[in-house]
Parts: sequence; structure tokens; C-alpha cells
Amino acid sequence: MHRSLTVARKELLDTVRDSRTLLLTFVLPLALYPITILTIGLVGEANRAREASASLRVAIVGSEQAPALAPVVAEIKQMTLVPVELGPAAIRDRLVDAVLVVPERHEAAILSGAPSTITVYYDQTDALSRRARGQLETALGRYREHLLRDQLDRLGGDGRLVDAARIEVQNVASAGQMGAYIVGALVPYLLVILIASAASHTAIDTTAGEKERSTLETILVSAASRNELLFGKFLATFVTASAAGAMGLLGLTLTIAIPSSASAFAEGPILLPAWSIVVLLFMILPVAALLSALLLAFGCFARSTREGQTFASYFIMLVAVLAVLSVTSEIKPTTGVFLIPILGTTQAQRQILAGAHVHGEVLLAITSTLLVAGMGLLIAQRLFASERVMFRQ
Amino acid sequence: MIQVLGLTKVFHDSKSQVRAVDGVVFNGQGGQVIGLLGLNGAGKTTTLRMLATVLKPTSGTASVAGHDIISAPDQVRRQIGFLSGDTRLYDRLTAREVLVYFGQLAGLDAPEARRKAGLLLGRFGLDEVAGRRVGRLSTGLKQRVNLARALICDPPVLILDEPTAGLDVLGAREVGRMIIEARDEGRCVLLSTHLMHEAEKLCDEVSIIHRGRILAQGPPAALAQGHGDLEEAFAALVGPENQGEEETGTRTPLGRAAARSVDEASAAAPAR
Repeated sequence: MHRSLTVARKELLDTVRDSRTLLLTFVLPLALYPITILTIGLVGEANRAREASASLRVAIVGSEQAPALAPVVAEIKQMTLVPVELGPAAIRDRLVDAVLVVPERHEAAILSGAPSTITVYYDQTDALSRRARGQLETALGRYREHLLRDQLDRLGGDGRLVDAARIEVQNVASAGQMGAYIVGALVPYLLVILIASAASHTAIDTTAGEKERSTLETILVSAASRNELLFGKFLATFVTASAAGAMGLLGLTLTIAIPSSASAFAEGPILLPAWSIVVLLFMILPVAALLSALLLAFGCFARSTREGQTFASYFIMLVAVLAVLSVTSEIKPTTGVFLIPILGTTQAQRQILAGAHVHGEVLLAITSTLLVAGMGLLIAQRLFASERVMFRQ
Repeated sequence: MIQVLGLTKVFHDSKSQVRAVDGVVFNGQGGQVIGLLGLNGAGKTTTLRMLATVLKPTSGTASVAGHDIISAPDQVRRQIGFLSGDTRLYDRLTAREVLVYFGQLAGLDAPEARRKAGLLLGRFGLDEVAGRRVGRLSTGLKQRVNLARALICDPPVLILDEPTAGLDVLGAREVGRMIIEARDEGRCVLLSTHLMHEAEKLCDEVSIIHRGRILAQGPPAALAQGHGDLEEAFAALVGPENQGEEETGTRTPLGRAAARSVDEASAAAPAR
């Protein structure tokens, strides 16, 4: 163990004397969160401002079949009804943002009790078109109510019945909680990427990099055993990776303390309890251990730094996919999910940030992650001890 | 100090196999400089790497300072100082830090490692550059630091693979002086080289190795007998006109005697 610590100390000394590694481990993580969150906030604000000021253009085909429709559409704020009948192709040509197509004898059919469908054409890839669709759907709801009210009155009923049943939606989560929920979707993913990047740099440099610089044999002929050497390199990689994660978390904490940055995600300040920061910090460690072990194995296998970095980049892509899954999809947090490395820890972090008490799940995620880290270290050990692998040309 | 008995190393790849070292036999005692003389690709580096426990032999065995290289590699490494073209140093560490680091890896505690590092820096004339990063040192100074590194644990055996490669005349003379000093301190120095004058000047015993096999062994003067100098003797053994006899090196009486002892030793070596 003493020799392993000696190796780790030397590797860390080497690391802090390398400006590129310092940038990756300390500067970038500290800056990444503020830059990301503030950029998202600024871009979001700019988009909202653009959309709010943009006037939407809509055309109605067959408006004479639904005389009550045009006035309802004309009531929508910042929406212009284009007087010319343009088909759906006009959306692709950017002449209009959406097109309503009313079938023949539409109102007559409805009044006689037969079904009739108004189609809303829009472009899902365009933000203004999506907004137009949303507003048109709301307007069509009012149009339908108008028709029902008229029909009820005509039949001798009370048209006010249409307005009687109303639906109101209330979000019980506070603004701070909403913000924490949204941040919880972003933080675990970014943390994993930061940790993986820092780990890959050190892991590859202390293995494949040593082969390239011809310093590997220098330590292999020392009195330290291969296991001691490898464990020392693992410790150094683990410390570097954990430091990057901690710096990232520090950057996040400082950023969300700025009120204007929280507006990127919430209508109010984002509240992150101190205990959740502590738990997040603690959960960096198993992720750092896992990624360090596996990336060390890649480094041992690689013949050169370039090859090692290629392996590492594909591996990090896979890791990123797992992390993104926990962000973009509403995965049900079952026991099985918490057992999957990376996915389990990111889910646990997300739950913690949302304020859920998931102690058992956290323990499960940490245990499974550490087990896989142990396996990764065993693989690295086998590779490091293999003459054929370590001395491949 | 060094006993090599039928050491063999075969490298395999998907298409072929290469017998890099084939039944090598030689010995070395404390206070001796043993030379392994051969062309590039003769098997010198592979032999030394096996003795330094970096590579495992395919068959045969050896002992270094009383420890078997196969069953006790950790013990062997504690008794040797190894230097080769592939034992470079860390550019971002200072000369002193390198020595302290390897001293600690050798099992010295930090104060003892620093003390020994200080002594070696003085001995090798490195005091003025002790605080300079290795990456900023000249080739000659780096080699001196590397030699000092090999001696940090005060090993009884030094294994040096072409230690003067890449050095200028003065640098090479300096290394030669240090090798003699090490010998005079009672260490066994095993030195590989392809330079005849180096073998003649520094070595007490020389083994001529070619295509993985020892062709001749003995003091340089004895090998040169009948040929004028060691270079002529070497050429006579491995030159193209002697292709038919080169496998057994039977051109000289010494070669024939060496070949007999090699064959006998190979027959006695344990198979793996």
C-alpha cells in the first residue's frame, strides 16, 4: 500500500504540473456549469422574447364551411389570418405558420350530428409553427364550445351548460422545487461527463502515455509489484476524477445561487438543501471509481495515447447515453434501474435533487457501481500484468 | 551474483514465432563487468529484460543475487539497478524528485530516500541541476540521473542495456568511468553493447550473442586471440562467410568450447 501511495503521489504531482490536466480537472468543471446554465438561460430568454414578439400567420382553407371559425381565430393575440387560401405546402415555404383545413359542409354535418374533422397542419420542427398549433387547438376548443352552445340553445336547452364544467390545473410543486427538478435532470448528466473526461485524461496518460514516453519499463523494473503500480495509478485517476466532479458541483452551487441564472429553469429561486449537496458530493466517489477503473483498463490495453483516447471517447459516448437516458426519459425508478451503473447513480441523484428520500436506492446504486468498479480494476490488473498487452507494438 | 541457465524467449504473433533468445548461458560475479556483445536484434535486450523480470522466459531460468527470476521476481528487482533505452525518466519531475521517488519505490522511507538522493546527486555531479526538471536536462545529464536512479537502492547487480547509446564521446567516457566505479565497489555489472571498443575497454568477460545464441565467451583478450582484436574475432564468428558455422560458433577453439558448454547447459535446463 505504501508503494501504491508513493505512485499515486507522484502521478498527482505530475498531473498538477501539466497545465492541460489542470484545465480539464479544475478550470473547465468550475466554468462549465455557469457557462451552460447561463447560456441556456440567455438563449431561453431570447427565444421567449422572439416568440412573444413574433406574429403568427395562419390560413384557413374552406372557411366558408365554418363561418364561426374565422372570428374565433381572429381573436387570438398576435395571430394574423392570411386572407388567401393557402394549402399545407405553404407551411414548408414559410408563407404561413399553420393551416386549418375545413371539410365540405362542416357545420351542416355537425348540426345534423354527423362527425366532421377540422385538420390543423403545422411544422413540428419549427418553434413558431408549434406555437401556432397550440394556440389553434385552444381556439378550436372555444369554437367547438360555441357550436355546442348554439345547438343547445336551438334545441331549447341552456347553452350555459357548455361552460358549466371547467377544468383547472394546479401545480403543487413550488417554483424552487420545479427548478430543482429541472436542474436535477441536467446536473447528474454533466457531472458524469466531467468525471469521465478528467478520468480518461489521467488514466490514459499514466498507462498508454507511459508506454509512449518509454517510462513504463522504468517503473516495471523498480521494486514495486505490478499490482502496487496499478493501484497507485488507479488512486491518482480516482482523485483527479473526483476532484473534477467536486469542482463541477461547486460551479453548480455557485451558479444557482445567482438569481438571474435560476430564471433559465424556474420562475423563482432554485432551492438546493445543503444535505442534498453533501449527498451529491458523496455520490461522485463511486462514479469516479467506476470510470477510473474502466478507463485504466482501456489505457492498459491501448498501444499509444491516441489509441487510448479513441477507446476512451467511445466509452464516454456510451456513458453519456446512459446519463442522457436518465435525463430525457421518464424512467420508472425501479430496483433494477438503480442496479445499472451510471443510470442508477444518475437516477438516484435526480431523485435526491427532486427532494425524494431514496436512501435504500442510493445504497443500491453505490454498491452496484462499486462492484463493477472492482471488476474493472481486475480487468486492468490482468492487462497490466500481461506482457503481450503491455509490450505490444 | 548472476547465473543464467539456458534462458530462452520465444515471441508469438498471429503469423509466426520468433526465437529471440535461445538457450543462453553465462555467469557473473561481484566485482566483474560482464559484457553481452552482439548486433542489433541479436537478443541482448530481451535477455536483459528477462533478467530484470520485465519479460518471462519461455524456458530456462536464471538467478540474480541468489533469487530466481521466475519464482521470486520481486526479490530480484530489489537487488538490481536496470537501465536501458526504454527506461526514460519523467520530464515534469526534477532530478532530485526522480531519485527520491525511485528510492521510495525501492522501500526507503522519505528521509532516507532524500539522503541517498543527495549523495548520488553529488557523486554524479548533478548538484547544480538537482532542482531542474528532467525534461530540461541535456541527454548526457539525463543519462547520469538515470544511472543514479539505478543505484538509488544500492543494488549488488547493475544491468545496463547500451548505456552509452546517444551520448557524445565525453558523455560515454563518463558512463564508462561510472561502470568501472560500480565494479570496483564490488557490484556485478551486466552490460550489453554492440560497440567493440566499449566491450574491450570495460568488460572482464564478454559473451558474443548472435540470433539469440551465445557463440563465444571469455575475456576480450582471449576472444581476440588469433584475430588481432575483438572486432575481427566478432566478424569471424558472425560474418556472412561463416553462416554455416555461426549456429555453433565453432570457428575458434574458444568458440567450440563455448558451444559445447552451451549445449550441455541447454540440455540440463528445465523445460517450461
